[in-house]
Amino acid sequence: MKKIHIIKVLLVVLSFGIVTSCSKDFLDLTPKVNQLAANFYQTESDAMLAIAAVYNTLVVQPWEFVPIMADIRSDDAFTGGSNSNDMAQWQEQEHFKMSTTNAAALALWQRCYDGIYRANLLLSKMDGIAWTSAANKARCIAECQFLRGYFYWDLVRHFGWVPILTSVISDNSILTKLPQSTPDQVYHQVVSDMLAALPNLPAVISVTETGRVGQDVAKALLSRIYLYYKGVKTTIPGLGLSGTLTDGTTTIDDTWAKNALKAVINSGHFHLLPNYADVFALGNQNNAEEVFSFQYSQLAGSSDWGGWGISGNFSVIFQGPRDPVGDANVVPGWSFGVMTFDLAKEYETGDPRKAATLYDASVNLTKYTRGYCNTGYFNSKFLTWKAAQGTKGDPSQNFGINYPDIRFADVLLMYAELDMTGGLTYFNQVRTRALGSGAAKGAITLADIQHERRVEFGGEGHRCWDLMRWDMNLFATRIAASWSNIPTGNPMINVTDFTPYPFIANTYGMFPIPATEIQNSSVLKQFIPAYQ
Amino acid sequence: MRKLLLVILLFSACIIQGIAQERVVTGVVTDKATKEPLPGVSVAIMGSTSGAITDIDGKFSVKATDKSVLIFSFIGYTTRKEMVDQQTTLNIALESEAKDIDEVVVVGYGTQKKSLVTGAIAKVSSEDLMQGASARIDEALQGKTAGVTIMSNSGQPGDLVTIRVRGTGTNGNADPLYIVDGLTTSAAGLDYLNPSDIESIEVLKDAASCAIYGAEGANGVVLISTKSGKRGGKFEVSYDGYFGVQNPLKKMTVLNKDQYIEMMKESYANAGAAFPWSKAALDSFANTDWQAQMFTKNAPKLSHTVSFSGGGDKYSYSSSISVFKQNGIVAPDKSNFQRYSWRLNTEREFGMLTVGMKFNIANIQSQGISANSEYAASLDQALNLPPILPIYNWDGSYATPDKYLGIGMQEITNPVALLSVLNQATVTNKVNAGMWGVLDFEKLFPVLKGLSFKTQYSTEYAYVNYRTYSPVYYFSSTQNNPESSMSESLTQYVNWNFDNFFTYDRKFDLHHITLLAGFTAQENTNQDLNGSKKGLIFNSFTNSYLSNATDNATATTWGGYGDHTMASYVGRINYDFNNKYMMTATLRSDGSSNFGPNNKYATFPSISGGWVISNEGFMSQFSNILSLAKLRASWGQTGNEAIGAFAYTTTLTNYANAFFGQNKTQYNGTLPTQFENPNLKWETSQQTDIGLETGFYKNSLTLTLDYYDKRTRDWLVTAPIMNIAGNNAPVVNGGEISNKGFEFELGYKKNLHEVNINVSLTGAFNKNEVLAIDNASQSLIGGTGMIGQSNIKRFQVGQPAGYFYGIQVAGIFQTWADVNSYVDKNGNKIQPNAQPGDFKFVDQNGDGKIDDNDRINLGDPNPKFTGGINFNINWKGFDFNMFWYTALGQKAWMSLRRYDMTIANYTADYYNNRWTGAGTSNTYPRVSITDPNNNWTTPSSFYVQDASYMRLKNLTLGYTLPKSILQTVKLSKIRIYISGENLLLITKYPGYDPEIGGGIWTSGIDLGNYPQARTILGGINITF
Repeated sequence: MKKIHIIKVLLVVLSFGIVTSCSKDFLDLTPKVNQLAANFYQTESDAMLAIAAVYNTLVVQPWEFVPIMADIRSDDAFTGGSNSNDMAQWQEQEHFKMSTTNAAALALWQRCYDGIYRANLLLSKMDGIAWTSAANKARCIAECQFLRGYFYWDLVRHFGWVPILTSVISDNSILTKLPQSTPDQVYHQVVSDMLAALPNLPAVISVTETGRVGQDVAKALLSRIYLYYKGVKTTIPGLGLSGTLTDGTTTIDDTWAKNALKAVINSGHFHLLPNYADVFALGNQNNAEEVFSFQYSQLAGSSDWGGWGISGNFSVIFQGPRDPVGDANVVPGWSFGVMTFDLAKEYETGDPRKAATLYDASVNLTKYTRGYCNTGYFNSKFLTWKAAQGTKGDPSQNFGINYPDIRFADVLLMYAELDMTGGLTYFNQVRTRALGSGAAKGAITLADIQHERRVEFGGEGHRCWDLMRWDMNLFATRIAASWSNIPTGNPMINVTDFTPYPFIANTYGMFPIPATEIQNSSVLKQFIPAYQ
Repeated sequence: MRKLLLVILLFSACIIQGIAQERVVTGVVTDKATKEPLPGVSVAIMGSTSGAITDIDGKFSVKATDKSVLIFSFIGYTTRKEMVDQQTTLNIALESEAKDIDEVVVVGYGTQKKSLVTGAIAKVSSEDLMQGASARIDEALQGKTAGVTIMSNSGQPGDLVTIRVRGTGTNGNADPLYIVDGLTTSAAGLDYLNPSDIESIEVLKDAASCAIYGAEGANGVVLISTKSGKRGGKFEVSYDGYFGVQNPLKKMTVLNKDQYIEMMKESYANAGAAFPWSKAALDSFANTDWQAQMFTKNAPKLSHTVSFSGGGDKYSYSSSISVFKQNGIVAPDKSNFQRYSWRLNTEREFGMLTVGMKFNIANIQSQGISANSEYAASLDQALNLPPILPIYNWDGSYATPDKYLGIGMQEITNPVALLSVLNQATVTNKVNAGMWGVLDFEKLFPVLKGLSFKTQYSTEYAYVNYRTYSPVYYFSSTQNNPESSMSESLTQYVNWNFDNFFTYDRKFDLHHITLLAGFTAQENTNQDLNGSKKGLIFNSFTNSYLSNATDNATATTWGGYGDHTMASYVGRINYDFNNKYMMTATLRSDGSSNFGPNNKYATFPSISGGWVISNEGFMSQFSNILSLAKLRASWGQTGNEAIGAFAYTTTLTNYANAFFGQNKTQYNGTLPTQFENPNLKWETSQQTDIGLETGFYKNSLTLTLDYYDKRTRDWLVTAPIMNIAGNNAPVVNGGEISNKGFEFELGYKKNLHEVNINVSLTGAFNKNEVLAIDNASQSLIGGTGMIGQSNIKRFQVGQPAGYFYGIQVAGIFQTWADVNSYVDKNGNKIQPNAQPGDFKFVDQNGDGKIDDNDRINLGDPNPKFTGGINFNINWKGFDFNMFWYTALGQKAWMSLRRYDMTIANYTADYYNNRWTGAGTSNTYPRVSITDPNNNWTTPSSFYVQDASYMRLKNLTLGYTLPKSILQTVKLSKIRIYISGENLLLITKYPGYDPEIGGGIWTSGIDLGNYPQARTILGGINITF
């Protein structure tokens, strides 16, 4: 009987025991898959991964690839696609009739601010990182500053009036009251960031670091920004630019730019390749002519249609011909950014740059499907080359073709534009590399530079910005010209697709502030007349 | 293994039966009313373990002494005690209990007599659930109880249904909490349940009933109990089966070749563009009915269930094995569902301890197409593809618009081609098992009478395998796959609940008190492993496994782990006095891993009371008329913590790759996923409910009325943050919503000689209003319609949740005079690109232009009224059931046409009613291949349709063979029936089906949704 009593008591005790045996740790879970942010930003390798995330926002431009969009707005390319509604966000740019809800404008805006946030975040973590040398820290700070400057440069040349953030702000009540800065103030931010970065960036980039920025990149890019600033100051008076590009201490002017460009030219880090076509040969990536190239690889095997995980050159699939037959080196693309007849006409007879820039489907293919605004000319520099396509993931997102943002030829021609006498040899270096020594000029004019830049950089996304800074009337004329003289009688060319869309001056050739951003803010507004 | 041993143990224990002696007492037990013999009645001898069960003729035989007291008990009948004395024959007539009043309902962590319940709890029993042939148990609930809105997401076999208890209570996950035999589960997790295994479903609607589930109870609680054996029940084997065929209820009428060409010529002419096809080309074009290529006829649906159950005086068991198969009415080879399941529930009493177990194994195989999408292999492809495109080119390859018609349609391409390369299948294997034990302290220490302790451990192990295969194909530049590829994923879910409760249940004279106190913990984990690879050596889905893929360079793997835990203390007091006055109070304290240290715990109280007026002395004069009148009122708070793990803090992601170096070394760029909010806490719902339950004329007429006022605050909102912030918004607590409503359930039962009539009517009105949203615009926008139509739903203060948000169409401009006179205050044209035949949009804010600022509330996707009518009539062996369901007052966003594709097909409605000149139409604008006035791209009232409907869900005619025939074949029951499901749909909605469930941003948006089928089936129930 006693035994039973003991068992009874035990049972009672046990049942209470079960109830109370709860551990507090049970509820304090830590993620097993993703790191907590609180445990990161501590070592140099953490900093390397964090800076990679900043570069990522510069390089991965999924549905708003700036170079294609710029060419579409210029006389060099048409939007194309499968039909007149395909990628409406690009067609609208081509027509200079952008709605304030344009998806590409929003995506570009968002990408730039994502990059600015990532740079600001890493800058705020610098002191908590265990650096092995002061130089490493200074370099990391400089890269953040440079990249932040690049994002503000993209913002100011597309949107003009944008809010400036130089620290991480997550409080929406502050963000919604953050006013837009004037274009001058944004340029001030760009120059401040880039000039602050310049001395702390490496003079030489080692072969294991290709794709990261050094002093040469900062000098060349600041010169490009200066040329643009100097031009649009007068061509787009509505921007209200003061005319001085400065961080408050250093003023960037002709002299500064010439010195900077000269330094890059004389650095010995770069030279023109003997053969123009080699510059874009797949096996020749990161060659001696590339000052700064966006690095793309097919190796990550992206398959993310949301766009953010893409790390191949996604712009390539846009630019390939549809259903190509007859060229085993080319895989199907989506026929966007097709090159204009007008660009094809620009090349002098015998200029090898034509064939290296324009992939002529009528010559290279036996059959292909006609897309919208088909011209038969595709961008050869970023064509859907089979050899560049990765097979891992979704092949259409994985082309390992770099985008050369700054080429040595650009540095040479920028110098020549600033100093047509002193830069004549530089100009001729570029010209004779393509056309032979017989083509050298004894003296040059702006018109020569304009021609040379167009044929040298065709399909590289610079033309629109060049036209805008040179002359908005020229811009309008050139746009109109690109819609005219459409060949007839060719079944692959549907003449009715080429209804002209003239340049509309009160757009300034720029983008509207995204409507959702204005709706969410209490202070943002449209300054560009077309979007008001 | 231990569980298996226990099963064996329980069974062997069942066989051992005590034997007493003295003399034999025999007799017959009958139903007092019908005089029919009652088989399966337990005849126990008081104070002993021996007894007997009546046989098929109601006869029993026990050994007893003169002093023995026999206890006759049977479910649904009042227990009788009878002294043996000198008798050797005891014929007993048992009186059936007044079932509707003393019915027992399952409440949180226990049961309660329905008459004592003070909350709003709806019970649906197995008979009601089994009227249809539903694949899923939640689908079978539709219309069965007031205030529970159920919408099928699509007609695809096995697809989810959307359930809302008393309106949409949140902007986030508004699904109720599901608990199956004590195990917390999700809506998706109910797939393993065979509807015929369900004993009852209780829906806890008011906060007082749900508060016992604390932080998980804000959207209502659905308690599902599977069938158990009955103690003292005789051994019974039964078979239920049916076979049916399904057909589409409706096809959309789209244009044939001639109509299409006419429309296209007009479209090109209206745009001033050259018609792209020559006469010769037109003559050569096809006339394809693309829908006919997608729909199938007589798709089969079948179910077989074999079950057995029984029990002795101290044990019971119930088990079943079943198979269910359903093919889709669209693309049946690629859209189907089948489930095999086996279930065993047993329990046994060992003196002071009663133990039991529940065990279910299921294997579920499903394949699906895109049910409601303008992309991929979906019905929408068939609606948009021009009829002039043939299925095949002359060489046998699939024809596509790009190549055959010379005009690309992006994602729209030949659906027959897409289906031919679509290979995907999900196989789920699940084990749901639970063990419980109840310790009756009275049997230990008599002084502890009424005190018991129950412990229950319930688990779910689910393994979900998902496999895809794509052969090499080339349809177009955007639709191709250059290398055969496959992927496979395996996800393992391990969930458990551990409940431990003390219950103290005592009567002191007329006072009855029940106390419940305990502790519960749960954990939900998932772990997945995924791989994909290309270059298969076999060109078949059957062989598409990673080992058969040879292209190593393409191999990818990924996987992860997720965890969620909760630990809670629960207390409840029930008190009633003389079955007249009742009171219940509950308190639950929850801790959840989903919240940070600042807000890990929360407390949820509730209180409710009831008064059975009809039990008052002064009401006795009305007792012939009014058999029941109960007034109840409740108030309580509940929570919602369904926000996913670690939303309060910041974790890192590393997808932001960059490549550096000549060799392009990959650096996995790392950044935070979002901004953090360490003060994040659960959202809280507070609800007041007042109910009146009445019964008239011996409860032949019953009426229950409920009014509720439910407010949910501290919504978990990912409030829009400006893009300039540079990262995703933190989750914040920032919104409040009100749902007020009125529900009724009316029942009528009548026996007219041999005819039994049973009619029930349920109905619910709900009014939903957003009270606060904590951001500058006091609104949230989201939801997408046809490609390019974004933010078509909105939550806004003062408006119903998730209303359709767009621009009002004020008809069509008939003449140039109409266009030119539509001007702003400065005389400028409001729609400068419009011409006659285009929509006139309303400039709501009067700023002289049409843009997003002119968007208004175009309609509410939530029904204002939902109801069901259930009509049963029995005559002799025949039974007839008719069940109607209706949902009224809701709107749907119907956008089936890819307006961005100039050559997409149109509906016949458009063709017949389009504008072709002044006065021809005020509804459908002129057709054109350009859209300068944004007639179609504008998210406008053009797309908003009345989606009210009434559906004849079920019509069944059955016949049960008379007992006289059955006895000759030694069977206890045979019923055969034929049944029609979804026979009639009464609606003005022009699409396939107005019933479009989904999440808060997707419900009511029709992109060519997979419609529900009309099913005709025949079945049989046999009990041996």
